Amino acid sequence: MKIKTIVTVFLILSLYTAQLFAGDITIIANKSVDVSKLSKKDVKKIFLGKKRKWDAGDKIIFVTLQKKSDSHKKFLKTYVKKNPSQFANFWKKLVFTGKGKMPKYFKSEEAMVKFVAKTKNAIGYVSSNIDLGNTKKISIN
Amino acid sequence: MKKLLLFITTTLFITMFAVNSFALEAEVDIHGFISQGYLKTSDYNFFGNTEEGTAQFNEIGLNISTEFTDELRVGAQIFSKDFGSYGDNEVIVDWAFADYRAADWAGVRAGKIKTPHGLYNETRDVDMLRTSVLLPQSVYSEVLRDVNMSMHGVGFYGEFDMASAGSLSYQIIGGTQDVEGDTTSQAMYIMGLSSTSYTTDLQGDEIDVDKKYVVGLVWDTPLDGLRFGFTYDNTELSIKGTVLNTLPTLIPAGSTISADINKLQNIVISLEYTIDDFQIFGEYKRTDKEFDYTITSSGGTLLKQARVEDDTYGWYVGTSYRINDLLVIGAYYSETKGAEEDTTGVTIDPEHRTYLKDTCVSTKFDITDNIIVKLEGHYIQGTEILSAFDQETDNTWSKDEWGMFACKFTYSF
Repeated sequence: MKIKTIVTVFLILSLYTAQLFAGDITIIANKSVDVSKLSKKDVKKIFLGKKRKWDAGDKIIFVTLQKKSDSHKKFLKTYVKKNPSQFANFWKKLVFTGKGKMPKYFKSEEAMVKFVAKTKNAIGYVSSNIDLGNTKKISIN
Repeated sequence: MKKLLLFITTTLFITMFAVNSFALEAEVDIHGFISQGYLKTSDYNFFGNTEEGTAQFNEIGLNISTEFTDELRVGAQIFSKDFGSYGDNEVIVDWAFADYRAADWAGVRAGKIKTPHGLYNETRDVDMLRTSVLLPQSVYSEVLRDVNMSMHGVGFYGEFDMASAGSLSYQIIGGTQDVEGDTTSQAMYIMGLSSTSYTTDLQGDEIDVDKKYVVGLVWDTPLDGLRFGFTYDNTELSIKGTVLNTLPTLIPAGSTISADINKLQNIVISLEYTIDDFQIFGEYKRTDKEFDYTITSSGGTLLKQARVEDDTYGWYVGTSYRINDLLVIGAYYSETKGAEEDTTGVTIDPEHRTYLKDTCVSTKFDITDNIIVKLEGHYIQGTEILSAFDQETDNTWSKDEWGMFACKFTYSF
Protein backbone atom coordinates (compact mmCIF):
# COMPACT_ATOMS: atom_id res chain seq x y z
CA MET A 1 0.00 0.00 0.00
CA LYS A 2 2.81 2.38 1.00
CA ILE A 3 4.64 1.65 -2.23
CA LYS A 4 1.47 2.40 -4.23
CA THR A 5 1.11 5.76 -2.49
CA ILE A 6 4.76 6.67 -3.04
CA VAL A 7 4.56 5.73 -6.73
CA THR A 8 1.33 7.72 -7.19
CA VAL A 9 2.79 10.81 -5.49
CA PHE A 10 5.97 10.45 -7.54
CA LEU A 11 4.00 10.21 -10.79
CA ILE A 12 1.81 13.22 -9.95
CA LEU A 13 4.88 15.28 -9.01
CA SER A 14 6.70 14.19 -12.16
CA LEU A 15 3.76 15.14 -14.38
CA TYR A 16 3.35 18.45 -12.58
CA THR A 17 7.08 19.22 -12.92
CA ALA A 18 7.01 18.25 -16.59
CA GLN A 19 4.04 20.56 -17.17
CA LEU A 20 5.85 23.38 -15.40
CA PHE A 21 8.95 22.79 -17.47
CA ALA A 22 6.97 22.47 -20.70
CA GLY A 23 5.31 25.76 -19.87
CA ASP A 24 8.60 27.62 -20.35
CA ILE A 25 8.56 26.96 -24.07
CA THR A 26 5.96 28.00 -26.63
CA ILE A 27 5.63 26.21 -29.93
CA ILE A 28 4.92 28.66 -32.75
CA ALA A 29 3.96 28.21 -36.39
CA ASN A 30 3.27 30.24 -39.48
CA LYS A 31 -0.37 31.23 -39.83
CA SER A 32 -0.64 29.10 -42.98
CA VAL A 33 -0.27 25.95 -40.87
CA ASP A 34 -3.63 24.22 -40.68
CA VAL A 35 -3.25 22.77 -37.19
CA SER A 36 -3.60 24.47 -33.84
CA LYS A 37 -2.80 21.49 -31.61
CA LEU A 38 0.02 18.96 -31.63
CA SER A 39 0.98 16.14 -29.32
CA LYS A 40 4.45 16.05 -27.73
CA LYS A 41 5.14 12.99 -29.84
CA ASP A 42 4.28 14.93 -33.02
CA VAL A 43 6.68 17.72 -32.02
CA LYS A 44 9.45 15.17 -31.42
CA LYS A 45 8.81 13.50 -34.78
CA ILE A 46 8.83 16.84 -36.60
CA PHE A 47 12.16 17.97 -35.15
CA LEU A 48 13.75 14.57 -35.83
CA GLY A 49 12.57 14.66 -39.44
CA LYS A 50 10.26 11.69 -38.96
CA LYS A 51 7.06 13.63 -39.69
CA ARG A 52 7.77 15.61 -42.81
CA LYS A 53 4.39 16.90 -43.94
CA TRP A 54 1.43 18.70 -42.41
CA ASP A 55 -1.93 16.95 -42.66
CA ALA A 56 -2.75 19.05 -45.73
CA GLY A 57 0.29 17.58 -47.48
CA ASP A 58 2.62 20.60 -47.36
CA LYS A 59 6.23 20.08 -46.34
CA ILE A 60 6.99 21.04 -42.73
CA ILE A 61 9.78 23.59 -42.38
CA PHE A 62 11.11 23.35 -38.84
CA VAL A 63 13.75 25.67 -37.44
CA THR A 64 15.80 25.62 -34.25
CA LEU A 65 17.76 27.93 -32.01
CA GLN A 66 21.53 27.73 -31.71
CA LYS A 67 23.10 24.98 -29.60
CA LYS A 68 24.03 27.18 -26.62
CA SER A 69 20.60 28.75 -26.23
CA ASP A 70 18.84 27.92 -22.95
CA SER A 71 15.50 27.79 -24.75
CA HIS A 72 16.97 25.27 -27.20
CA LYS A 73 18.16 23.10 -24.28
CA LYS A 74 14.77 23.32 -22.57
CA PHE A 75 12.90 22.56 -25.78
CA LEU A 76 15.05 19.52 -26.58
CA LYS A 77 14.82 18.14 -23.05
CA THR A 78 11.05 18.60 -22.88
CA TYR A 79 9.99 17.52 -26.35
CA VAL A 80 12.82 15.72 -28.18
CA LYS A 81 14.39 13.98 -25.16
CA LYS A 82 17.92 14.74 -26.29
CA ASN A 83 20.62 17.14 -25.16
CA PRO A 84 21.99 19.67 -27.70
CA SER A 85 25.00 17.49 -28.56
CA GLN A 86 22.83 14.41 -29.12
CA PHE A 87 20.45 16.45 -31.28
CA ALA A 88 23.32 17.88 -33.35
CA ASN A 89 24.85 14.41 -33.75
CA PHE A 90 21.49 12.96 -34.78
CA TRP A 91 21.38 15.41 -37.69
CA LYS A 92 25.09 15.09 -38.51
CA LYS A 93 24.55 11.37 -38.86
CA LEU A 94 21.87 11.99 -41.49
CA VAL A 95 23.93 14.65 -43.25
CA PHE A 96 27.06 12.49 -43.55
CA THR A 97 25.14 9.47 -44.82
CA GLY A 98 23.16 11.51 -47.36
CA LYS A 99 19.83 11.04 -45.64
CA GLY A 100 19.03 14.55 -44.52
CA LYS A 101 20.06 18.19 -44.23
CA MET A 102 20.96 20.14 -41.13
CA PRO A 103 18.04 22.13 -39.69
CA LYS A 104 18.21 25.88 -40.11
CA TYR A 105 19.06 27.58 -36.82
CA PHE A 106 18.85 31.10 -35.42
CA LYS A 107 21.01 32.96 -32.93
CA SER A 108 18.10 34.83 -31.39
CA GLU A 109 14.48 34.00 -30.60
CA GLU A 110 13.33 37.27 -32.20
CA ALA A 111 14.96 36.20 -35.48
CA MET A 112 13.20 32.85 -35.25
CA VAL A 113 9.82 34.54 -34.68
CA LYS A 114 10.39 36.75 -37.75
CA PHE A 115 11.33 33.74 -39.90
CA VAL A 116 8.36 31.64 -38.79
CA ALA A 117 6.00 34.59 -39.31
CA LYS A 118 7.04 35.09 -42.92
CA THR A 119 7.71 31.44 -43.96
CA LYS A 120 4.79 29.33 -45.09
CA ASN A 121 4.51 25.96 -43.25
CA ALA A 122 7.24 26.88 -40.74
CA ILE A 123 7.32 25.77 -37.10
CA GLY A 124 9.66 26.78 -34.28
CA TYR A 125 9.76 27.47 -30.55
CA VAL A 126 10.56 30.32 -28.20
CA SER A 127 10.52 31.14 -24.50
CA SER A 128 7.09 31.90 -23.13
CA ASN A 129 8.04 35.53 -22.44
CA ILE A 130 8.91 36.33 -26.07
CA ASP A 131 6.52 38.37 -28.24
CA LEU A 132 5.05 35.91 -30.74
CA GLY A 133 4.65 38.59 -33.41
CA ASN A 134 2.68 37.51 -36.44
CA THR A 135 2.93 33.78 -35.67
CA LYS A 136 0.39 31.48 -34.16
CA LYS A 137 0.76 29.55 -30.94
CA ILE A 138 0.41 25.79 -31.15
CA SER A 139 -1.21 24.08 -28.16
CA ILE A 140 0.33 20.89 -26.90
CA ASN A 141 -1.92 17.95 -25.96
CA MET B 1 27.36 -4.56 -64.31
CA LYS B 2 29.99 -2.62 -62.36
CA LYS B 3 30.60 -0.30 -65.31
CA LEU B 4 26.88 0.34 -65.46
CA LEU B 5 26.75 1.17 -61.77
CA LEU B 6 29.78 3.43 -62.10
CA PHE B 7 27.98 5.13 -64.95
CA ILE B 8 24.85 5.58 -62.80
CA THR B 9 26.94 7.08 -60.02
CA THR B 10 28.67 9.47 -62.41
CA THR B 11 25.34 10.38 -63.96
CA LEU B 12 23.96 11.22 -60.54
CA PHE B 13 26.85 13.62 -59.96
CA ILE B 14 26.46 15.26 -63.35
CA THR B 15 22.67 15.42 -63.09
CA MET B 16 22.90 17.00 -59.68
CA PHE B 17 25.14 19.81 -60.92
CA ALA B 18 23.46 20.24 -64.29
CA VAL B 19 19.89 20.28 -63.05
CA ASN B 20 20.82 22.50 -60.17
CA SER B 21 22.22 25.10 -62.53
CA PHE B 22 18.70 25.41 -63.96
CA ALA B 23 16.84 25.06 -60.67
CA LEU B 24 18.22 28.15 -59.02
CA GLU B 25 15.74 27.98 -56.16
CA ALA B 26 17.17 24.61 -54.99
CA GLU B 27 19.55 25.05 -52.06
CA VAL B 28 22.82 23.15 -52.21
CA ASP B 29 24.29 21.89 -48.94
CA ILE B 30 28.00 21.22 -48.63
CA HIS B 31 29.47 19.52 -45.57
CA GLY B 32 32.77 17.84 -44.82
CA PHE B 33 35.19 16.53 -42.25
CA ILE B 34 38.89 15.92 -41.87
CA SER B 35 40.49 13.73 -39.21
CA GLN B 36 44.11 13.08 -38.36
CA GLY B 37 45.09 10.44 -35.84
CA TYR B 38 48.07 8.68 -34.35
CA LEU B 39 48.35 5.01 -33.32
CA LYS B 40 50.96 3.30 -31.13
CA THR B 41 50.99 -0.32 -30.02
CA SER B 42 53.18 -1.98 -27.42
CA ASP B 43 53.62 -5.07 -29.62
CA TYR B 44 52.56 -6.11 -33.11
CA ASN B 45 51.41 -3.93 -36.00
CA PHE B 46 47.73 -3.01 -36.10
CA PHE B 47 47.36 -2.52 -39.88
CA GLY B 48 50.06 0.16 -40.12
CA ASN B 49 53.50 0.36 -38.58
CA THR B 50 51.97 0.97 -35.15
CA GLU B 51 54.68 -0.73 -33.12
CA GLU B 52 56.90 2.24 -33.95
CA GLY B 53 53.91 4.60 -33.91
CA THR B 54 52.20 5.89 -37.03
CA ALA B 55 50.28 8.92 -38.23
CA GLN B 56 49.05 6.96 -41.24
CA PHE B 57 45.58 7.35 -39.81
CA ASN B 58 43.37 9.97 -41.44
CA GLU B 59 39.97 10.44 -43.06
CA ILE B 60 38.64 13.18 -45.31
CA GLY B 61 35.07 13.44 -46.56
CA LEU B 62 33.20 16.07 -48.57
CA ASN B 63 29.55 15.87 -49.51
CA ILE B 64 27.11 17.88 -51.57
CA SER B 65 23.33 17.45 -51.66
CA THR B 66 20.21 19.21 -52.77
CA GLU B 67 16.45 18.78 -52.75
CA PHE B 68 14.82 19.14 -56.14
CA THR B 69 11.32 18.69 -54.78
CA ASP B 70 9.82 17.98 -51.34
CA GLU B 71 10.14 14.26 -52.13
CA LEU B 72 13.33 14.05 -54.20
CA ARG B 73 16.82 14.62 -52.90
CA VAL B 74 20.16 13.83 -54.54
CA GLY B 75 23.61 13.83 -53.01
CA ALA B 76 27.09 12.38 -53.08
CA GLN B 77 30.16 12.18 -50.85
CA ILE B 78 33.76 11.68 -51.86
CA PHE B 79 36.00 10.10 -49.28
CA SER B 80 39.67 9.39 -48.72
CA LYS B 81 41.36 7.53 -45.89
CA ASP B 82 44.73 6.23 -44.85
CA PHE B 83 44.81 3.48 -42.26
CA GLY B 84 48.15 1.73 -42.41
CA SER B 85 47.95 -0.81 -45.19
CA TYR B 86 44.41 0.35 -46.08
CA GLY B 87 43.22 3.28 -48.16
CA ASP B 88 46.47 5.08 -48.97
CA ASN B 89 44.36 8.24 -49.41
CA GLU B 90 42.85 7.02 -52.64
CA VAL B 91 39.75 9.13 -53.34
CA ILE B 92 36.55 7.12 -53.70
CA VAL B 93 32.85 7.85 -54.01
CA ASP B 94 31.60 6.96 -50.53
CA TRP B 95 27.92 7.32 -51.34
CA ALA B 96 25.98 8.83 -54.22
CA PHE B 97 22.27 8.29 -54.59
CA ALA B 98 18.90 9.70 -55.50
CA ASP B 99 16.35 9.49 -52.71
CA TYR B 100 12.61 9.65 -53.37
CA ARG B 101 10.43 9.66 -50.26
CA ALA B 102 6.77 9.25 -51.11
CA ALA B 103 5.63 9.07 -47.47
CA ASP B 104 7.16 8.85 -44.00
CA TRP B 105 6.82 5.06 -44.21
CA ALA B 106 7.92 4.56 -47.83
CA GLY B 107 10.99 5.81 -49.66
CA VAL B 108 13.40 4.48 -52.25
CA ARG B 109 17.10 5.15 -52.81
CA ALA B 110 19.15 4.20 -55.87
CA GLY B 111 22.89 4.52 -56.38
CA LYS B 112 25.77 3.85 -54.00
CA ILE B 113 24.27 3.55 -50.52
CA LYS B 114 25.81 3.15 -47.07
CA THR B 115 25.13 -0.34 -45.71
CA PRO B 116 23.46 -0.90 -42.35
CA HIS B 117 25.44 -3.36 -40.24
CA GLY B 118 24.70 -2.86 -36.57
CA LEU B 119 23.74 0.60 -35.36
CA TYR B 120 26.97 2.41 -36.21
CA ASN B 121 28.39 1.06 -39.48
CA GLU B 122 26.92 3.78 -41.67
CA THR B 123 28.70 6.46 -39.62
CA ARG B 124 31.92 4.61 -38.78
CA ASP B 125 34.00 7.16 -40.72
CA VAL B 126 32.25 10.12 -39.10
CA ASP B 127 34.47 10.37 -36.10
CA MET B 128 32.73 13.20 -34.25
CA LEU B 129 29.56 11.15 -33.69
CA ARG B 130 31.03 8.78 -31.11
CA THR B 131 33.25 8.87 -28.06
CA SER B 132 35.75 6.19 -29.06
CA VAL B 133 38.42 6.48 -31.75
CA LEU B 134 38.04 2.86 -32.86
CA LEU B 135 34.73 1.07 -32.93
CA PRO B 136 34.67 -2.34 -31.18
CA GLN B 137 36.44 -4.73 -33.55
CA SER B 138 34.14 -7.63 -32.63
CA VAL B 139 31.34 -6.09 -34.70
CA TYR B 140 33.13 -3.40 -36.75
CA SER B 141 36.26 -5.19 -37.91
CA GLU B 142 38.67 -2.85 -39.66
CA VAL B 143 39.77 -5.77 -41.86
CA LEU B 144 36.32 -6.06 -43.38
CA ARG B 145 35.53 -2.33 -43.38
CA ASP B 146 35.32 -2.11 -47.17
CA VAL B 147 33.32 -5.33 -47.46
CA ASN B 148 30.68 -3.92 -45.11
CA MET B 149 30.80 -0.21 -45.93
CA SER B 150 28.56 0.62 -48.88
CA MET B 151 27.01 -0.97 -51.93
CA HIS B 152 25.58 -0.17 -55.35
CA GLY B 153 21.92 -0.94 -55.62
CA VAL B 154 18.38 -0.02 -54.77
CA GLY B 155 17.06 0.34 -51.24
CA PHE B 156 13.60 0.74 -49.76
CA TYR B 157 13.20 2.45 -46.42
CA GLY B 158 10.77 4.16 -44.10
CA GLU B 159 9.38 4.31 -40.61
CA PHE B 160 6.12 2.97 -39.21
CA ASP B 161 4.48 4.70 -36.27
CA MET B 162 3.26 1.92 -33.97
CA ALA B 163 1.36 4.23 -31.62
CA SER B 164 1.97 3.18 -28.01
CA ALA B 165 4.52 0.53 -29.15
CA GLY B 166 6.94 3.17 -30.45
CA SER B 167 8.16 3.22 -34.05
CA LEU B 168 9.89 0.82 -36.40
CA SER B 169 12.25 1.97 -39.15
CA TYR B 170 13.43 -0.34 -41.89
CA GLN B 171 15.93 -0.51 -44.75
CA ILE B 172 15.99 -3.23 -47.39
CA ILE B 173 18.81 -2.97 -49.94
CA GLY B 174 19.81 -5.24 -52.81
CA GLY B 175 22.71 -4.88 -55.20
CA THR B 176 26.42 -5.43 -55.52
CA GLN B 177 29.62 -3.68 -54.50
CA ASP B 178 33.20 -2.88 -55.37
CA VAL B 179 35.54 -3.91 -52.57
CA GLU B 180 38.15 -1.18 -52.18
CA GLY B 181 41.30 -1.27 -50.10
CA ASP B 182 43.81 -4.01 -49.38
CA THR B 183 42.63 -6.98 -51.44
CA THR B 184 45.12 -9.43 -49.95
CA SER B 185 44.19 -8.90 -46.28
CA GLN B 186 40.45 -8.88 -46.94
CA ALA B 187 40.55 -11.89 -49.28
CA MET B 188 42.62 -13.98 -46.89
CA TYR B 189 40.52 -12.95 -43.88
CA ILE B 190 37.30 -13.95 -45.64
CA MET B 191 38.84 -17.25 -46.79
CA GLY B 192 40.06 -17.96 -43.26
CA LEU B 193 43.74 -17.81 -44.13
CA SER B 194 44.93 -14.66 -42.36
CA SER B 195 45.59 -16.26 -38.98
CA THR B 196 48.15 -18.83 -40.05
CA SER B 197 51.83 -18.08 -39.88
CA TYR B 198 52.51 -18.55 -43.59
CA THR B 199 50.10 -15.95 -44.90
CA THR B 200 52.94 -13.69 -46.01
CA ASP B 201 53.40 -16.25 -48.78
CA LEU B 202 49.90 -15.58 -50.15
CA GLN B 203 48.51 -12.79 -52.27
CA GLY B 204 44.87 -11.81 -52.85
CA ASP B 205 44.30 -10.89 -56.48
CA GLU B 206 40.59 -10.29 -56.81
CA ILE B 207 37.40 -9.96 -54.78
CA ASP B 208 34.38 -9.99 -57.05
CA VAL B 209 31.01 -9.46 -55.38
CA ASP B 210 28.17 -10.94 -57.38
CA LYS B 211 25.26 -9.87 -55.21
CA LYS B 212 24.54 -8.58 -51.76
CA TYR B 213 21.33 -7.92 -49.87
CA VAL B 214 20.78 -6.27 -46.53
CA VAL B 215 17.87 -5.84 -44.14
CA GLY B 216 18.09 -3.37 -41.29
CA LEU B 217 15.46 -2.75 -38.60
CA VAL B 218 15.49 -0.31 -35.69
CA TRP B 219 12.75 -0.31 -33.08
CA ASP B 220 12.49 2.90 -31.07
CA THR B 221 10.63 1.67 -28.04
CA PRO B 222 8.02 3.68 -26.09
CA LEU B 223 10.66 4.16 -23.39
CA ASP B 224 12.47 7.34 -24.43
CA GLY B 225 16.08 6.64 -25.39
CA LEU B 226 15.77 2.85 -25.65
CA ARG B 227 16.13 1.28 -29.08
CA PHE B 228 16.87 -2.12 -30.49
CA GLY B 229 18.43 -2.91 -33.84
CA PHE B 230 18.63 -5.96 -36.08
CA THR B 231 20.60 -6.24 -39.32
CA TYR B 232 21.01 -9.15 -41.66
CA ASP B 233 23.19 -9.25 -44.75
CA ASN B 234 24.40 -11.89 -47.16
CA THR B 235 27.07 -11.52 -49.82
CA GLU B 236 27.82 -13.87 -52.68
CA LEU B 237 31.32 -13.38 -54.01
CA SER B 238 34.34 -15.03 -55.55
CA ILE B 239 37.94 -14.61 -54.51
CA LYS B 240 41.18 -15.42 -56.29
CA GLY B 241 44.64 -15.56 -54.77
CA THR B 242 48.15 -16.72 -55.58
CA VAL B 243 50.68 -18.75 -53.56
CA LEU B 244 53.89 -16.72 -53.75
CA ASN B 245 56.21 -19.22 -52.04
CA THR B 246 55.77 -22.95 -51.41
CA LEU B 247 53.60 -23.45 -48.33
CA PRO B 248 54.40 -25.80 -45.41
CA THR B 249 51.53 -27.98 -46.62
CA LEU B 250 53.61 -28.53 -49.79
CA ILE B 251 51.46 -26.40 -52.04
CA PRO B 252 53.91 -25.08 -54.62
CA ALA B 253 54.60 -21.45 -55.46
CA GLY B 254 52.56 -20.19 -58.37
CA SER B 255 49.45 -22.17 -57.41
CA THR B 256 46.11 -20.42 -57.58
CA ILE B 257 43.55 -20.39 -54.75
CA SER B 258 39.95 -19.77 -55.78
CA ALA B 259 36.87 -19.61 -53.60
CA ASP B 260 33.23 -19.33 -54.64
CA ILE B 261 31.49 -18.03 -51.56
CA ASN B 262 27.73 -18.40 -51.74
CA LYS B 263 27.15 -17.50 -48.12
CA LEU B 264 28.94 -14.75 -46.25
CA GLN B 265 26.19 -13.91 -43.82
CA ASN B 266 26.13 -11.53 -40.87
CA ILE B 267 23.48 -11.04 -38.23
CA VAL B 268 23.86 -8.17 -35.77
CA ILE B 269 21.56 -7.58 -32.80
CA SER B 270 21.89 -4.20 -31.10
CA LEU B 271 20.72 -2.32 -28.04
CA GLU B 272 21.22 1.33 -27.12
CA TYR B 273 19.81 3.20 -24.14
CA THR B 274 20.30 6.90 -23.61
CA ILE B 275 19.26 8.66 -20.41
CA ASP B 276 20.18 12.36 -20.51
CA ASP B 277 23.99 12.47 -20.73
CA PHE B 278 24.48 8.77 -20.01
CA GLN B 279 24.42 6.04 -22.60
CA ILE B 280 24.85 2.27 -22.60
CA PHE B 281 25.04 0.11 -25.70
CA GLY B 282 25.87 -3.40 -26.77
CA GLU B 283 25.82 -5.53 -29.90
CA TYR B 284 26.18 -9.19 -30.82
CA LYS B 285 27.31 -10.35 -34.25
CA ARG B 286 27.40 -13.78 -35.80
CA THR B 287 29.06 -14.52 -39.13
CA ASP B 288 28.38 -17.69 -41.12
CA LYS B 289 30.43 -18.68 -44.14
CA GLU B 290 29.96 -21.47 -46.63
CA PHE B 291 32.17 -21.86 -49.66
CA ASP B 292 33.98 -24.21 -52.01
CA TYR B 293 37.63 -23.59 -52.70
CA THR B 294 40.16 -25.08 -55.05
CA ILE B 295 43.92 -24.93 -55.21
CA THR B 296 45.32 -25.40 -58.69
CA SER B 297 49.00 -25.62 -59.65
CA SER B 298 50.49 -23.22 -62.18
CA GLY B 299 50.30 -26.10 -64.67
CA GLY B 300 46.55 -26.43 -64.13
CA THR B 301 46.59 -29.57 -61.95
CA LEU B 302 43.94 -29.65 -59.23
CA LEU B 303 45.87 -29.97 -55.94
CA LYS B 304 43.07 -29.59 -53.44
CA GLN B 305 39.32 -29.10 -53.41
CA ALA B 306 37.15 -28.77 -50.33
CA ARG B 307 34.03 -27.22 -48.88
CA VAL B 308 34.30 -24.97 -45.85
CA GLU B 309 31.50 -24.21 -43.39
CA ASP B 310 32.47 -21.86 -40.66
CA ASP B 311 30.85 -19.62 -38.06
CA THR B 312 32.36 -17.00 -35.81
CA TYR B 313 30.89 -14.53 -33.35
CA GLY B 314 31.67 -11.33 -31.50
CA TRP B 315 30.00 -9.03 -29.02
CA TYR B 316 30.65 -5.93 -26.98
CA VAL B 317 29.11 -3.74 -24.29
CA GLY B 318 29.97 -0.11 -23.70
CA THR B 319 29.02 3.12 -22.02
CA SER B 320 29.61 6.84 -22.35
CA TYR B 321 28.88 9.83 -20.15
CA ARG B 322 28.98 13.53 -20.94
CA ILE B 323 30.52 15.28 -17.93
CA ASN B 324 30.08 18.80 -19.33
CA ASP B 325 29.96 20.68 -22.64
CA LEU B 326 33.68 20.00 -23.13
CA LEU B 327 34.26 16.42 -22.00
CA VAL B 328 32.75 13.00 -22.70
CA ILE B 329 34.21 9.80 -21.27
CA GLY B 330 33.52 6.27 -22.48
CA ALA B 331 34.55 2.65 -22.24
CA TYR B 332 33.78 -0.67 -23.87
CA TYR B 333 34.68 -4.33 -23.62
CA SER B 334 34.73 -6.25 -26.89
CA GLU B 335 35.23 -9.97 -27.48
CA THR B 336 35.69 -11.94 -30.71
CA LYS B 337 35.95 -15.68 -31.16
CA GLY B 338 37.34 -16.83 -34.50
CA ALA B 339 37.82 -20.23 -36.11
CA GLU B 340 40.25 -22.71 -34.54
CA GLU B 341 41.38 -24.13 -37.86
CA ASP B 342 42.21 -22.32 -41.05
CA THR B 343 40.60 -23.16 -44.38
CA THR B 344 43.24 -25.73 -45.29
CA GLY B 345 42.62 -27.63 -42.04
CA VAL B 346 45.72 -26.39 -40.21
CA THR B 347 45.14 -25.75 -36.47
CA ILE B 348 45.69 -22.08 -35.74
CA ASP B 349 48.61 -21.76 -33.40
CA PRO B 350 49.20 -20.19 -30.91
CA GLU B 351 45.69 -20.24 -29.52
CA HIS B 352 45.58 -16.45 -28.95
CA ARG B 353 45.37 -16.06 -32.76
CA THR B 354 41.75 -17.30 -32.45
CA TYR B 355 40.35 -14.67 -30.06
CA LEU B 356 40.40 -10.99 -29.13
CA LYS B 357 39.39 -9.42 -25.82
CA ASP B 358 39.67 -5.66 -25.97
CA THR B 359 39.12 -3.31 -23.01
CA CYS B 360 39.00 0.30 -24.17
CA VAL B 361 38.79 3.61 -22.31
CA SER B 362 38.19 6.84 -24.26
CA THR B 363 37.91 10.58 -23.71
CA LYS B 364 36.44 13.03 -26.19
CA PHE B 365 36.93 16.78 -25.96
CA ASP B 366 34.41 18.94 -27.83
CA ILE B 367 36.69 21.95 -28.23
CA THR B 368 34.11 23.77 -30.36
CA ASP B 369 31.01 22.66 -32.31
CA ASN B 370 33.37 21.88 -35.20
CA ILE B 371 36.56 20.65 -33.53
CA ILE B 372 37.04 17.55 -31.39
CA VAL B 373 40.04 15.76 -29.92
CA LYS B 374 40.04 12.17 -28.63
CA LEU B 375 42.44 10.15 -26.52
CA GLU B 376 42.08 6.40 -26.10
CA GLY B 377 43.80 3.42 -24.48
CA HIS B 378 43.31 -0.31 -25.16
CA TYR B 379 44.36 -3.35 -23.16
CA ILE B 380 44.04 -6.33 -25.48
CA GLN B 381 44.24 -10.08 -24.93
CA GLY B 382 44.53 -12.20 -28.06
CA THR B 383 45.58 -11.37 -31.60
CA GLU B 384 42.69 -12.58 -33.80
CA ILE B 385 42.23 -9.21 -35.50
CA LEU B 386 45.89 -8.87 -36.48
CA SER B 387 46.87 -9.85 -39.99
CA ALA B 388 50.12 -11.75 -40.51
CA PHE B 389 50.66 -9.51 -43.55
CA ASP B 390 51.23 -6.45 -41.36
CA GLN B 391 53.81 -8.05 -39.02
CA GLU B 392 57.60 -8.01 -39.15
CA THR B 393 59.10 -11.07 -40.87
CA ASP B 394 60.67 -12.28 -37.61
CA ASN B 395 57.38 -12.08 -35.68
CA THR B 396 56.66 -15.28 -33.71
CA TRP B 397 53.34 -14.32 -32.07
CA SER B 398 55.03 -14.77 -28.68
CA LYS B 399 52.82 -12.36 -26.72
CA ASP B 400 49.14 -12.90 -26.04
CA GLU B 401 48.65 -9.46 -24.41
CA TRP B 402 49.33 -6.08 -25.95
CA GLY B 403 48.27 -2.46 -25.63
CA MET B 404 47.37 0.36 -27.95
CA PHE B 405 47.17 4.14 -27.66
CA ALA B 406 45.14 6.20 -30.11
CA CYS B 407 44.51 9.90 -30.46
CA LYS B 408 42.61 11.80 -33.11
CA PHE B 409 41.78 15.36 -34.13
CA THR B 410 38.67 16.05 -36.23
CA TYR B 411 37.33 19.17 -37.89
CA SER B 412 33.86 19.09 -39.44
CA PHE B 413 31.53 21.62 -40.99
